[in-house]
Amino acid sequence: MFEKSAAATPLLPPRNMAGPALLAVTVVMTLLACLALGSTVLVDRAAERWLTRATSAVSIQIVETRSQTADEQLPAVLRELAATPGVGNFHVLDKDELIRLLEPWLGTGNISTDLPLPLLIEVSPDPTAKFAEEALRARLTAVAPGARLDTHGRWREMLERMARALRFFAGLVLVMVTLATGTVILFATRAGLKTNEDILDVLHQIGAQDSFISRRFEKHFVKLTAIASALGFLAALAFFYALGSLVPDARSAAFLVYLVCVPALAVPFSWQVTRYYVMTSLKTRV
Amino acid sequence: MIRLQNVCLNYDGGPNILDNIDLALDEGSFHFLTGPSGAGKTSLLKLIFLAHRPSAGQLDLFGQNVKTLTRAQLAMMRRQIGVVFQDFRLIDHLSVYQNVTLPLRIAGKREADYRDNVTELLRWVGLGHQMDSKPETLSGGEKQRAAIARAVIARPRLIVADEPTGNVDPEMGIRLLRLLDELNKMGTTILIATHDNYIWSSFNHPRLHLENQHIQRLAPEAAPYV
Ligand SMILES: Nc1ncnc2c1ncn2[C@@H]1O[C@H](COP(=O)(O)OP(=O)(O)O)[C@@H](O)[C@H]1O
Ligand SMILES: [Mg+2]
Repeated sequence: MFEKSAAATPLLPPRNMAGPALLAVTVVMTLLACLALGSTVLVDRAAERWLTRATSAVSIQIVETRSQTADEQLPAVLRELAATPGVGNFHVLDKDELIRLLEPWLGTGNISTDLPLPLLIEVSPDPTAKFAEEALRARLTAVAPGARLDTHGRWREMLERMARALRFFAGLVLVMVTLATGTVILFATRAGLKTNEDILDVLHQIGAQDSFISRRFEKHFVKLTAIASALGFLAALAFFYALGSLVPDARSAAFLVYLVCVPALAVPFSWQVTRYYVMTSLKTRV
Repeated sequence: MIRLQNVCLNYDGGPNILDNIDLALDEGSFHFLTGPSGAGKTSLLKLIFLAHRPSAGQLDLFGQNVKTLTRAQLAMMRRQIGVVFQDFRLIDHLSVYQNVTLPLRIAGKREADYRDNVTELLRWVGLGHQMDSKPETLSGGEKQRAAIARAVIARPRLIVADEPTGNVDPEMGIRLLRLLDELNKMGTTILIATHDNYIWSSFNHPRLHLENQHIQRLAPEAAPYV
């Protein structure tokens, strides 16, 4: 006789609750949050890897000056290098190595042998001591005016600045997405309270506690957020998987762990927003 | 059981609908509340079933000053009050059975423990074949009976009914009143607002008459029903 158990029917009819529109908005918000978070993580990692490589790459270029050829300046430079703390190995590139470096720009076989080439010294810092960059630069200016120390410092600074700006931007997007989602859920909860007012009156009169009533709303919105944020997450996953052919990091497991944070935080967030709003507005009743 | 001292009620600071009401109803008593339409019967009942607060004065229920209770305590107190609303207030998307069992569900009872009792009560009020129907398919009288069943199902200490026989024929009216009378004999306190002479004159219970913001106690007028 009782095919449907009494407990099976929700006390608040689902059709009285925000549905597809809220779902769609939450999917988009989750996707945005994932994209913002994911791209910062990827850029951060790329920048970090580039920086570690760039830091170890120090080079000295010697060009001809009015009074001295590059070769004439070389012994003084080598002497200074040997005397500078933090310098490990150094190696003067020969003509073949230089040509190989230039080929990507000038094309194979286009470099004539009498082209005046600068001298290039590759320096590997000694990881156990601090590289005395400024001292070396000063000494080089004194002994070999044609020598230029290149530590990629400016590059690094720019890269760091960019990574910082991107982190800030992503943080802003996350804050805005969170606020927007919170507001949307708040309004949906408010609408839900309003549409179900008659039912709430009855439940209240029968002796339902506020928390009991609140749980009906929490269940609904938590379920909705769980579905929506899972969909948004999957969409982001598809995006980053496709990106993975360009940025291999986008397919790594560690990266996924970052992304999962978005739906994992969205659910308790919507839960607390709903609970807070329902409990607060029920308190205004008799 | 129920005690009102200098209770006044107005809506949003308007004129007093109830003015300095003093009233005490004993545990286990049965009263009718009569009075012309608009006299404030529903308003008085709302105070008693805790849907509204007095604008002034003190209301004690089950020996406790209502003003001193927390929200959680008020909810627990409402579980001891069965209410039949004038407009039934059945929940549309729930079946008759689900509507009637709502107080039990909210009190956290297990369905297996009450299913038979509910079925029996619904048969008794003539809704045995409509347990799975939605309220919208019921006639006014059937809705009324479902509303009464919901008010009594959890065996409350106090039953407050607002025109509970307004939509049923006299015979069913008497039948429903007899249900309440039986519950009263088992100790339930009953207060029924009605403008139906036939009903209150068929039962040997005192009457409270509300008119011009004041209450008058009247002795039972009729011989009990046979
Ligand atoms: N929620 C309300 N807001 C304002 N006035 C109300 C409200 N409920 C009832 N009233 C007024 O209070 C008076 C008494 O109404 P009511 O208690 O319903 O009387 P009765 O049940 O005896 O017909 C009426 O004048 C009615 O208009
Ligand atoms: Mg009335």
